[in-house]
Amino acid sequence: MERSWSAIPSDRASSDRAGDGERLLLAPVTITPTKPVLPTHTKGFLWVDALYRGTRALGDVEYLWNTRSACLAGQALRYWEYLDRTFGDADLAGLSVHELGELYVKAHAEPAPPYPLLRPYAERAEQGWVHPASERILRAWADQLGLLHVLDPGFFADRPYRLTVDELIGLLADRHLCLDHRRFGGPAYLDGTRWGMPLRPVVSADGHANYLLMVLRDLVPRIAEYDRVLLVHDEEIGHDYVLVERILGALGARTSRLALGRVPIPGAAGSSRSGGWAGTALDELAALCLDQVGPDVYRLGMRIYFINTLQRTGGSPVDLRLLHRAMTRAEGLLARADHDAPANYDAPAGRDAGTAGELRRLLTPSGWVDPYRLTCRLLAKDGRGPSRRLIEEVLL
Amino acid sequence: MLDQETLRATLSDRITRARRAAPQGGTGVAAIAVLRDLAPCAFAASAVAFAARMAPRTRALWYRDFTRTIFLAGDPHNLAARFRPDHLAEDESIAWYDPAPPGDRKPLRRMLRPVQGRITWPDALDVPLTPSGRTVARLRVAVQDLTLQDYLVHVNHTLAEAVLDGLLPTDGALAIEHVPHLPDDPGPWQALRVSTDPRDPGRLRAYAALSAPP
Repeated sequence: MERSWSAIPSDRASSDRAGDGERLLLAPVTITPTKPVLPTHTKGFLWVDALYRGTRALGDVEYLWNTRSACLAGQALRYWEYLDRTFGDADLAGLSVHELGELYVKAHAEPAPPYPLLRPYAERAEQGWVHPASERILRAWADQLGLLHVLDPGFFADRPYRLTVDELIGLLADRHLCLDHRRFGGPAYLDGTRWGMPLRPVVSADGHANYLLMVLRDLVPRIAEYDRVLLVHDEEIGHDYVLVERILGALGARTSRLALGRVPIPGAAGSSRSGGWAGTALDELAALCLDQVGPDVYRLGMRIYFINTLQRTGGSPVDLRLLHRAMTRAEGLLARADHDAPANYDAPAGRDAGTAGELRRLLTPSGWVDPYRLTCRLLAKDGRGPSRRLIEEVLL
Repeated sequence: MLDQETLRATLSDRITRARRAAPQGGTGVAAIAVLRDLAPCAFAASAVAFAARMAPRTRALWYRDFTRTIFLAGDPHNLAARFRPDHLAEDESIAWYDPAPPGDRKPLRRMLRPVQGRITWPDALDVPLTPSGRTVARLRVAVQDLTLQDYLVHVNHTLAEAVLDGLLPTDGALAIEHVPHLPDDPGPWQALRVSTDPRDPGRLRAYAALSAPP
C-alpha cells in the first residue's frame, strides 16, 4: 500500500489506476505557501486526501496541484515583494515557519503595492521559481503532512502551464466566456452574464492576472482527458468556483464541486491574512497529540476530528477537548479493528472486492468517495464499520 | 472664440433647452450602453442611430435629463436573452438600452462594470452613418487628459443632443478628428460640448465641437 510521502511520482500530477471506473480529475484550490498549515488548510488536505485515496480504489483519479498557481496568487507575490523590500538580502533561514507566517500578516497589513512592483515576481513564478521563504514553508508543510500520511500532491513538482494567459483568454473570448478589454487598457473579465452572474475581473488594468485565471489555466487544457472534474474550494470563494464550474461545463466538462467551510481562528475575522492562529497550526496540534498517542492514532484521530467532527461546513474553531476525544475514539477503533481484522486483512493485496464494495457504497452521484460518509461508517456503532484494510488504505 | 464667457453662455443655453424639453420631476432617467468592443467608429455610428430611433416621449425625458448615459463593460451576445437591447450596434459590439429610471435597470447594472481604459485610436476617423453617404458633419474631440469613460460621455452627449436637436443629419457620414485641445477659434459650429475642467473646477472646458465638414 502506498503510504510514504514520496510514493507519488513527482514529475506529473498524482494518478492511480483501478479497474472499472471513470477518470476523475480532483482539483482543489491551491494554498499559498506563505504561512504554517492552519486549521482550514489541515481540514482541506485531510478531506482531499481521504477523497483521493478512497476514490482511486474504484477508478482513475488524478490529484491536480500546481504550486505555480499558488505562487502566482497576489497574496504570495505581495508577501515576496514585502520580504525582499524589508529584509533585502538578509538571510531568513534563522526564522521559523511561524515567524515567516507572522511576516505574511505584516505584509498584508500594508497597502497593496502597485502591480509593476509585483510583476518581476510573477514573471519568475511563471517559470517555476519559488521564493526561498515559501520554499522553506513548503518543506515544513511536506514534513508535517508526511507525518500525517497525507499523500504529497506534488508541492515540488514542476508543472508548467499548457496555455499562456493570452491563449486562455483568447480561447474563452472566442466563446463569449471572457470579456477582454485589455486591448484598450482595461481589465479582462470572466463573463458568466449569460447565467446571470456578474463579470469577474481576472486581469487588472495594470496587468495582474489573478488566481482564478491560474485555476483555469490548470484545468481547461486537461478536461478533455477526464470523464469528470471535481472542484474543491473554500466556501468563501464559492461564487468564483460556481463560475469556474459553469465555464468548464460550457467547454464540455462534467463537473461537481465540494465546498469546505473554513475553520475559524478565535478572535480573528476572515482569512489567515489577519493572523491570530497561535496554538492551532498543524505542527502545534501534532506536538500536542503525539505527546499522548502513537502515530497511527494521531493519523486516524486527526481525520476523525477534521472530517467528521468539524464536518464539511464551517463555523466551529478548533476545540482541543473534541480533538482529544477524537484521539480516544481513534485509539479504540484501531484496537478493535486489530482484534477483528484477520478475515479481511488476509485478503489478497490490492483492491479486493470487499474494500471496493465498501467504498462503492460511499460514492456520490458525481463519482467520488465522500470522506464524511466514510468517517460516519467508521464511527457507526452497528458493528459494521470499515475493514482494517480499508482504514489503512484510506484513513491511515 | 472659445473664451470662458462663450462657454458659460453655451452651457446655460443647454440647461435652458433641457428644462423646456419636458416637465421636471420624477427620479430622472438614464440610458445604458453596454460595450463589448470599443471601436470609435462603431461607437459614434451607434450613438447616432440609438438617439435617432427613440420615440418622442422618451427623447424628451432623456433630453431633459441631459442625455445621461451609463457606459458599462459587457457582452451584448450574452445579455440578449435576459436583457433584450433597444438598439444594437451594426457589428453587435454595443447594446443600447432606452432611458429609464436607473433603479429599473439594477439587475443589468449589477452584473456589469463601468468601462475602463485609455484612448488608443487614430487622430482622424471617417464614420459612415449610412452605407454611401457624403460627409455631413465634422466632430472635433479634445482628448487631452480624457479617460475612456470621459471620451464616451462627451462624444455621446454631443452626438445624441445634436440628433435630438435636429442638427445632425443621419443620412451621411461623420468626420471625427481627435485633437489635444479645440482651437481658440474653432470657426462656426452647430454644437459645442461644454463641461467643467477637472484640472480647474472653477473653469469650463470645451470638449467637442460639431460643425459643417471642412
